[in-house]
Amino acid sequence: MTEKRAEFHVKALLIIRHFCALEIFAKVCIIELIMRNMRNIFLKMNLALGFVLASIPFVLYPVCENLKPDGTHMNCFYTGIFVTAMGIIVVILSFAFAKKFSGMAFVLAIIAAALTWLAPNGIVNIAGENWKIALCSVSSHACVADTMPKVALIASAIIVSSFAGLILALIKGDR
Amino acid sequence: MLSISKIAKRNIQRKPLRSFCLILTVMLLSSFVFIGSVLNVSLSDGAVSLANRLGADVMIVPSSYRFSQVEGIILTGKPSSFYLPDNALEEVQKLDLGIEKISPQTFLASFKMSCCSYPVQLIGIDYDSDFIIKHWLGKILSQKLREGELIIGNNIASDVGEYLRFFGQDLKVAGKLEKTGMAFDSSVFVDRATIEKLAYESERISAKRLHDSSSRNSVIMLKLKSGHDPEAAAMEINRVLGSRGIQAIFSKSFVNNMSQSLVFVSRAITLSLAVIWFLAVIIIGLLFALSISERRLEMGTLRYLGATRAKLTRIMLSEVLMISSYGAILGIFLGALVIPVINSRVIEALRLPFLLSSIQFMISAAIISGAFAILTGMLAALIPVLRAGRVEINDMLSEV
Repeated sequence: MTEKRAEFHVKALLIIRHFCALEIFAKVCIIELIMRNMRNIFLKMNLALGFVLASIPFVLYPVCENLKPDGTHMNCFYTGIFVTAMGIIVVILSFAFAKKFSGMAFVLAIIAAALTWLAPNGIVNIAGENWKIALCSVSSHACVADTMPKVALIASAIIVSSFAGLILALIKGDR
Repeated sequence: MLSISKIAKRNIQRKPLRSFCLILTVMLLSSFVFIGSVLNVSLSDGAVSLANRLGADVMIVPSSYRFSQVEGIILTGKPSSFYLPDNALEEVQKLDLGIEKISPQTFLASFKMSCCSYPVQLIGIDYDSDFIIKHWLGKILSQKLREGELIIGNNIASDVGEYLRFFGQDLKVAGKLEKTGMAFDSSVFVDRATIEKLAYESERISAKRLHDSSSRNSVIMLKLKSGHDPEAAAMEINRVLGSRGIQAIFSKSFVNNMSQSLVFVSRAITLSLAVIWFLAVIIIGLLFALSISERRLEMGTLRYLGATRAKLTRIMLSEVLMISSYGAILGIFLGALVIPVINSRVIEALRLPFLLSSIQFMISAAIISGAFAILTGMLAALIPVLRAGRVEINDMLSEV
């Protein structure tokens, strides 16, 4: 009986894995289709870099996970949300302008990418009543040591790619 | 009907790679000119700010601190705690130096621990005798700085009325200083009573004495009466009290040292701008010369169809103007993104005071840099364009 149950579990797991693999395959196909429709290599680069940027703060190089003594989140948690949001904006912009190639997509992507560095470093002040986009003051904390350098790197790559795309957009016009 | 600008636009679109390289060259030139000019002026403003704010003629520090270390504390604001030997203030006062004003300051570095909001330099000032910081505070503080209150530098992320915690003590922000371009931007100022309390708490938390002596004076600022030589006074202090672990620094030597570094950095920026300009002129000129030699058949045909030499020249000049304008605008956009980033890095890298220029100056610098980049593009392409305009139709068509 237990052997049958174990066999059933293995089969169930295999089916789930197949479904997961199918789902991933389908997603890859959709992204591939969308990317094929994109008329510009720099939009494709922005799409990929936007995905990476959005996944840095909570997946690839997570910000500090500890809570403050009063139970609230540290500033870097909100910075993580902000960076993820900016990454998603870059992705959305790449999708939105996939068919109609326009310089506006790149201008907005540059602004979003630049904000991911300027806001956490206090150059652009973004704050609410109980939250603030900022980094921890201790340099050994994950947000300062790991997350932010990677965010800066990807944001710079988005800016470079967007500037190149912007030049191309100016040359070709809104066609 | 195709206008001159439409023909120019089509020419730009027809050779995207060449146009891309030309726009990139002008963009880099424009951004370098913009960033370079803002850097130059900001460094110069920082030096002026330093000279104005170092109101003391002579600074007395512990002799264990080298000149470059004291310079580093004033410019980069690396939090440090250091103290003069006992009775240093009284011994200096006894000397016949022609002292007009004398005021001690206490430097205390906060911890990277939960007891402190930030790891910063805390500076305790004697509010009654102070003649430097009080002068700047006067503009933002209507009454005397009280015990339990603090004044924060411009870079500290907090506002008036909020509380900051240092060594377990919650202190109210009474004011925020204007930007100085120096370490004071990242420092916190408190009165003597508060700094004494914080020093005591610091010793209690770290379970370690701050200094062997009981002195809480880190720096003594001296202002001499008119007619007295600060350099001679500094030398006299070093001669008499040098063996007591005290050294006097002639304040102007700070400014002179800064000025020398500033001149060097300024020349380096100007030189690199000149090199970039020269390279941009050559690249744009060469690319246009190549492009024109490739398009001789096209130009010959246009001339054959009735286009005058002047029209041909105007088409090519419009092409250059469009490319240069695109590059100039993008370059200024790039410069505007880069300036805030380098602002925070310059003090650390160059160890020079840096006071970011006003927004009005930056707008003017952006316009002038853009115009300069457009003119450079036009100038570089002018010779090949004029030469092409002068060639006869037969020559153009027979060469192809």
